[in-house]
Order: sequence, then structure tokens, then C-alpha cells
Amino acid sequence: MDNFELTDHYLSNRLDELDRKAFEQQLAGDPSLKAEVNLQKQIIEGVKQARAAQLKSMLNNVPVGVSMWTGTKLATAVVSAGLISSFLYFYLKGDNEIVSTNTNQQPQQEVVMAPDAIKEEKTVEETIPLKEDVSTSKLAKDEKKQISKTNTVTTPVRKPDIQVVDPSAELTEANEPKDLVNHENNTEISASRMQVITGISDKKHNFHYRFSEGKLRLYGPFDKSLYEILEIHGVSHAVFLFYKENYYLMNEDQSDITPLKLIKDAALLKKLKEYRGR
Amino acid sequence: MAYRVFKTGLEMNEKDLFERIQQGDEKALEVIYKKYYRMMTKLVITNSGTEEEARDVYQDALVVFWQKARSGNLILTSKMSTYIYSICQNLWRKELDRKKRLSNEEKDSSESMDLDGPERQKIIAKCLDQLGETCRKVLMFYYFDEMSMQEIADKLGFANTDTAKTKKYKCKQKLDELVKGQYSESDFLD
Repeated sequence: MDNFELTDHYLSNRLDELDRKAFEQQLAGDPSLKAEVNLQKQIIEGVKQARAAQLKSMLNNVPVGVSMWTGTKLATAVVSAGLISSFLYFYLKGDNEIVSTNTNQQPQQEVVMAPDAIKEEKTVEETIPLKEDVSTSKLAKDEKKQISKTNTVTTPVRKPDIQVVDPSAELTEANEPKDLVNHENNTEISASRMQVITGISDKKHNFHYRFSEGKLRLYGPFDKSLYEILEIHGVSHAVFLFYKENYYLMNEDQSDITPLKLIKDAALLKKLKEYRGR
Repeated sequence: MAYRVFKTGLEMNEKDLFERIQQGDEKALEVIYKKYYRMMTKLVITNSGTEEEARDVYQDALVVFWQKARSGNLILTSKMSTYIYSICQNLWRKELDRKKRLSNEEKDSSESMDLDGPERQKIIAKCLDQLGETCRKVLMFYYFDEMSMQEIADKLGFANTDTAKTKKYKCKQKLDELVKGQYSESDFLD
């Protein structure tokens, strides 16, 4: 190793004990090397600080106001798909892989109502930060009621029911998801809620999916890693899987075991990323 | 079926999340951030801090946690949340001490503080910005996240570790050049 590499390894803790000591000895007797190491130390420190700032700004953009986003289950939340739905409509039409199930619906209504719902949801939470918690399950129910009303062209009057919850309850992690799960069984649109079954795989089917009995079955290593299901409802309807930084399109009519298809279309990927990033 | 849902299907326990962090999954860090947001910020808020300070401390704590977990040297002997909580406590204690010192200090003595450090860091940040996105990532992953060349190659889609190595070498050379140019311009080395 030359001095450039030695310095680099020394400063990034990549030298073993023996080499480190030898280098420190060399350093003690070589002022110009010492000066170079000092400069390198500053540069590396600068790189580290820039990365720390990058991570912090990433966290700063994570929405934390809505309690539904929290919990061990990564949570279920309703977001506006107005932005993406029309795009999807054209994409999917062109692709002919998924037939739009909602083409006779009024897209305008779709686009306008959902953002309001979200806005209101957030406002409720933000205006009462000291009360610590808005009941997750209540919100979930309201949200879903709202959505089902969207279908029947009824103007929703939302009165979120706010409950003050002891924040220490959050220390016992099991509470929240449990409530969420229990409540899910009572939702008005439970028929269209998607259940995901993982942990199945065999030699032939190690990265596959199928829909059956209203459930999505994922074949492969999904029980080990973080995955997300993105369900987009708008002018058209589509289901996507996000796994290891990739997106896959899933056809809901597919009741046979089908390989997961990687999405490569750059424009769609961009939209999905935007959507997922919310 | 005209409802819109964003769903995430897997129940993640602390162990899963910690493993994801160790593997460098930033999404897992976001999940943790949301999960413990109230618990951690409450610590600062109930100890004479503002909400902004609370958020700042919590974010700093998670960055520390991320780096420690990524380095592979962290073995959790307690719950992950307990560990993060203790980092928050330490950081907030330090911040309170710093505030206390500042308010006790005479005005003129605070002026003698070393201003070189932040200035230099600014210069380096500026130089870093002049590099391409890939270069920045390579250097950050290598120095901050302490990723191996294999991990960098995987993460950034390089053909192999040699490509990652070469890339890192060239990027670092470029950054050195830029910084040295800036330093001599502003006589920072004098």
C-alpha cells in the first residue's frame, strides 16, 4: 500500500491493529505525511457530515403527523392517487395488461375529494399535538367511510372522533397494530381489502404471485424482507409490489401462479416513486 | 372498488428492522423514525426543549444509530428503542450543557471560539456538490456508512468490486483536488 491508500485506510478505520500502530509510528517521524493526514481527516469529516445532513433531511421529509403511518405493521394509509391515476390509466391502457375496472366512473370527483380528506386528516392531528394521539382505528374507520362515500357521490361530512390516549401506551409496541388489525375486520369495505400471504415458496415458484379468494399470495423470500403493496385506485386500478428498490406490476385477475414482472418504464417508475414517497 | 390505499404488508419487528438497517435500507430508518417519533421527541419536550429541538435531537440520534449499526460493530443488548432513547438522552444532555455554558460565558470569550472548523466543512461540502451524484454516493457510502466495495458495487449497480474501487479512488482524487484548490485560494492551510 502506498501512503495515499494507507492514509485512507487509517482514517476510515480499515487498518488492522498492527498496521495502524506501524502507520502511527511512521506518522510521528514524518511531518509532511502528518500534514497530509490532517488534511485528509478534514476532507473525510466533511464527507461524513454531508452524509449525516443528507440522512437528516431524508428523515425531515418523513411525515410523522398522521398516527396511521406509524406502527409495526408499517400501517395502512389513504393517500391521494389523483396525481398518478390518470397517468396509470394511459399507461395500463397502452400496456393492455390490466383492463381498467373503473372507466365509467367520474374521474374529476376522484381527484378532488381524496386530497381534501387527507388534508383534513392532517389538520386534525396537527392542531392538537399536545393531546398526543388521535385514535388510529377511529381514523382508519373514518377514512374508509369517506372513501366508500366517494363511490356513491355523497359529500362527506367528517367529524373525526378524537380520543386522548396515554402516550406511554406507545412504549408497549403491541397495542397499536393489534387495534388496527381488530378494526380492519369491521370495515365497511372489508371485501375489497387485500390480505397478503407470504412465506410460501418452492423450487419452481420463488418470485411469483397469484390472487385467490381476494388474497394476494406472494411466493418467494418476502417474509424476510421489507416489501410494500401499492394499490392504486383511480380512473383505473392497479396493484404494485415494491421489493428491494424495484417495482413489480401484478394483475389482479391472475389466479394462476405468475412470475413477478419488473417494471422498467422510466416514467411510470418516477410516478410510483413519487407516490410511494408520500 | 374506487378507494385508494397505500398498503404495506409485512409486520416488522425490531429484529427485522435492525437487520434492514444493518443492510443499509434507508426505508427501514424512516419506519423507525415514524415508529418512535412521539416517544423520543417527548423526552426532549418534557425536559425544557422545544419541538424543533426535539426533532433535531431525535434525527441526530438516528443518524448516530444508523452509522453504528452500519459499521457492524453494534451488538444490541437491549431493545432497539431503548438504545435509541439513550442516544437521545445523551445528545440532549450535551445540548443542555452547551446552552448552559453559552449563557454563562462572557460575550467576548465566546467570540474567541474556533470558527475555522465550520468554514472548512462548508468548503468541503461545496466541493462535494461539484462532484457527480454517483461520486458523492460512493464517497459517502465508503466513509460514513463504512460499506465494503462489494456493498457499494451492489448498491450502485457497478459490475464488480474493482469498478467500485476504481470509482472510489477517482472520486476521492477529484475531491482532494477541488478541496486543495479551495484551501490554497483562501489560505486555509497557512
